[in-house]
Amino acid sequence: MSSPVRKEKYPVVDCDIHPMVADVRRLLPFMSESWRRHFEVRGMRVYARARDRYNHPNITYRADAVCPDGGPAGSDMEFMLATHIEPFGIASALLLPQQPYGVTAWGDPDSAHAFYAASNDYFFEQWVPFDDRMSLAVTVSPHDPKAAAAEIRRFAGKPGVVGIQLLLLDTMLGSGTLDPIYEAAVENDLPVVVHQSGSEGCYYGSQGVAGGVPRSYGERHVVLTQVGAANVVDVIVNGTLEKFPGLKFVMVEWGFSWLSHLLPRMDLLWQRDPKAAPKAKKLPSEYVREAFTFSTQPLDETESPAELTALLETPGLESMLLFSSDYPHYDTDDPGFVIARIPDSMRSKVCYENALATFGDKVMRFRDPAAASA
Amino acid sequence: MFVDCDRHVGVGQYSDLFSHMPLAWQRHFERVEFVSSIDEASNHIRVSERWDHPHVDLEPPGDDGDEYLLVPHQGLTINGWADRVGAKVFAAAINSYGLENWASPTRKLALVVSPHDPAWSAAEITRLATAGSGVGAVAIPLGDSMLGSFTLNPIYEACLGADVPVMVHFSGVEGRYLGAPPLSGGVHLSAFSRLSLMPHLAESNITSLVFEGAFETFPDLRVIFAGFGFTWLPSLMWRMDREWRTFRHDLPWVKEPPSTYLPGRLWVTTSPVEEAAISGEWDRSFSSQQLRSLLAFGSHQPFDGDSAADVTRVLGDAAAAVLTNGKAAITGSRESVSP
Repeated sequence: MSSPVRKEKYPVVDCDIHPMVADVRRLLPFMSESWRRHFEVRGMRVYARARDRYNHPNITYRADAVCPDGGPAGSDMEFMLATHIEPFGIASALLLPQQPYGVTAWGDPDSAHAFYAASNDYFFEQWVPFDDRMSLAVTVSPHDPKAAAAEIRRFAGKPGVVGIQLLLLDTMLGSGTLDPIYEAAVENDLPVVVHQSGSEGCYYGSQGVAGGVPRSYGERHVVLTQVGAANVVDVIVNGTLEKFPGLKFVMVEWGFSWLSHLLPRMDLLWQRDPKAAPKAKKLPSEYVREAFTFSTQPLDETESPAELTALLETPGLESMLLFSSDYPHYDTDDPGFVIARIPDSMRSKVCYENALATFGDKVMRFRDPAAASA
Repeated sequence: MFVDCDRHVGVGQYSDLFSHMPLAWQRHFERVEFVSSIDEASNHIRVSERWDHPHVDLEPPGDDGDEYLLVPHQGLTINGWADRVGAKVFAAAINSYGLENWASPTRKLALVVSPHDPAWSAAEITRLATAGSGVGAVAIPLGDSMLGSFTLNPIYEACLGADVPVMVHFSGVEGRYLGAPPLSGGVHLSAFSRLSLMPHLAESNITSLVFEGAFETFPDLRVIFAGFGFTWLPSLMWRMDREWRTFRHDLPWVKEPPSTYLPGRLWVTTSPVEEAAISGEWDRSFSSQQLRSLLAFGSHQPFDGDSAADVTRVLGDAAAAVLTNGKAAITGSRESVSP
């Protein structure tokens, strides 16, 4: 980062950082011999978005995040530490590996599983031990929920593993087909982190926005938040949180300004006709406030301080909001810029307290030596 | 006095429309399953899994001094029809029936057109929306293309020629019938989910209109979104402006920040107004005149709708203007109506 930086008063948990494998072939040693041969012959597609359909108008990453050796942005842990984590006083970086998003465009469940399992091993072995500030969400996919559950149990309890990055296919989060994943999540007290992959709106096997097909990248990006909202509704309506008390969802990069209208709408509809959503036993907004958190990025650019205040005064938001930067993507939110806009009354919650409540103490392995000596 | 931009009307039985069709098409539609499917059309507008709805009187209100934009919702359901040719005959029959039986100087009819045949739709508008005809708007059932698509330009040209706004209301089959527009996410089997997410259709189509440059191509176009609620407007405007700032070089045809295109061109109706009250959203987010100018009273009556008193209770001092904003939407007049 080239901009002046400052350390925050509170420790910051950055809930959206995307590490990369510099060369995806480095995952091959983490696979069985047969899978290694499979991918050596067939290659590995590591991007989810159909780039002949929605090509990004610029580049998808920050130019200043490209590694000194020319490696992909996000692929050098030392560079990330020096340019993003250290300068902003980030106490915990939730690593959401990006290359597994590509499997959302794959049709073969076994290949998908082999790939994301290798990615999990790679980041657990290479990145998590590198620094206590590295917190990993292991990636699983709904291609094969039982295999995904086994993958969760394989990593559960390991230091530095704090959550599950669940990819989205066409199945929404309230579907009973995902129950094996949720059972494993609850059993191991691991929140389910859901981040857009880029495949949304691209394929018959992916989820999309309402209305049809946006023409351009930017138009699609305006309404992409709808997919996150739709999955929140789906979880409530299908009684997932009644079935799995204690299950937590972390919705990353879906925005949050839509909560102020979605929650009242659901509550109003439920109050008028509770039998229309018979698996919901209480106000939908109560489920959301108990079980969901939402990341700050992309922070909506309100036109005035009054609008920003209105945005952040959505009832219950102070306990649902987690700081996120989306480093090293093109639309990274500068931590200093964003946190300065969070009111004093909720700043500590957004910086780290809500993350602690969501992920538990394991998200805060790092102890600042300076703070300790003081 | 108020102007209600979302007052539903309908026929009691589909056979009432037969005399407004060519004889051959009467014969086509004279079948038990089609005639009895009228119950399903009424269900759609409620987006409900109840199949035992109490009878609803779909006749228009009397001439009581207030003004209405009549929405013949049965016609909107053609966006779920597989037979898009028959759908045009059906829409034309509703238009003909409505102008003959429902429209009056204070009760203007929203003509139903076909999103699948813009040329036919344009001809229908030009033929029927003449001075004093009782046409108040052109209702476009949501189809394959979002509203910013250039394929709909003939409809917009005809609307401008007739000086009537476009109006959009969900039919209820969206996200449910194959061929109708999807809702966000995946497939929603629950009607509760579909109704919860229905505002996304308005968001996507408003974004489409702005980002595809429809308001640059047709700067005098007026569009009313009815029945979708309105509390999502601030969030949508922030997101549109942000993405435009990021990608405006990719959208050279969008020359101004998206939110600036909306005043005087877009109106969103108020129902269900209670959404704005339930957690204080009205007081928190709707203090600006720009936002308030985008709202127009829409009762959604006789389906689970609001009264003018409901709007006054929730919107307070702003209600008087909102109750009459529909006048400008329908006529293009900037003159306010005496409350």
